[in-house]
Amino acid sequence: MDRKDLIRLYLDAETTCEQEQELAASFATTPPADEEEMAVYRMLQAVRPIKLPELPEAADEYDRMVKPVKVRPFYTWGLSLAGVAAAIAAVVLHTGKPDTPGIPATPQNDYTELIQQIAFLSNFNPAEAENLEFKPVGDGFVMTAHFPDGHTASYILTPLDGGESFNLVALNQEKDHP
Amino acid sequence: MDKTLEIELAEIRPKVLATARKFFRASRLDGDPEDVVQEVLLRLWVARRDGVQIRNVEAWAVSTTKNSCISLWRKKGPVRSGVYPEWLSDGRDASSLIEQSEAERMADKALERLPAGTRRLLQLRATGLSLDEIAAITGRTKGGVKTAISVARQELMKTFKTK
Repeated sequence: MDRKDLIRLYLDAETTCEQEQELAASFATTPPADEEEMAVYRMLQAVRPIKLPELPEAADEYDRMVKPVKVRPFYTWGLSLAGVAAAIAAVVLHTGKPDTPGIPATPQNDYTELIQQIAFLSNFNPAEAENLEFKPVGDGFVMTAHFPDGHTASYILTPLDGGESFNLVALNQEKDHP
Repeated sequence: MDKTLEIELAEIRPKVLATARKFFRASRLDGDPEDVVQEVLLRLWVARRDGVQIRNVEAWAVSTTKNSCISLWRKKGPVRSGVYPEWLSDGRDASSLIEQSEAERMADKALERLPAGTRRLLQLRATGLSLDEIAAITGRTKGGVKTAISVARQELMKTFKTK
């Protein structure tokens, strides 16, 4: 096949890859003879093969950026509650020590409130609740536990450290009216 | 055309696209995940052409997609829509661009006037891919690829003839 035929096929995208290589190679031995051949020659020069750059080994970085959203399983609530109770206990023990100079004494009613919180939390076992209600409030939510004996208990949970842990404050405990 | 490779490219495409889309969503990278898909599939084509042994194509493709996404993220961060992806460069550095002749600069400008998708088809063809392979990589039909290449070549002919 002569070059004119190849050019006609090339412009109609009818050539094979091998024929296109043959066409390009022909210009190395025989210069373009006319305007059409010169235009094809320029086109072949202009459209260059793709050279792929090296890629980094970055699958771990991808996985960190596309981290799936974790749904906290129910048992972690128990751990969170235990953590909160432990934190409150630590505060009570710490503030129960003799006052150090310069630090004002904690009022007695604060102790009482903390002790009530601990007592309240110690009575709460999520596994015993018939159901739990969650109502969004701000960036946290109010959790209400309904127990088989008709009691309900409400708590405010606010996320800390981007949701890694929660601050839990007991609101109230009441008996459901029949 | 290696029928096995064409099927392989088409089969792996959805998985690669899903992996790229996930990254674009999570990173809020502004761009087209399709660019990453075509790069990864082209890399698979090159690997097959060069006889590289790949035991698990899907695992290889997912890993390459992740690497490509991070590479894009490191280079661009959130990119503007319509930016021509860097992997489609022809490997020339800045100094070689300065040294290129006036004719070459004119030729580059003529190419740049083509739509990015069409320019990509011409480059894939110049890399040595068959129409079937280009269709499998770009997600177009073979007829669509052929027509687009033909129209682009006719258009470039007009430009180059007038110079």
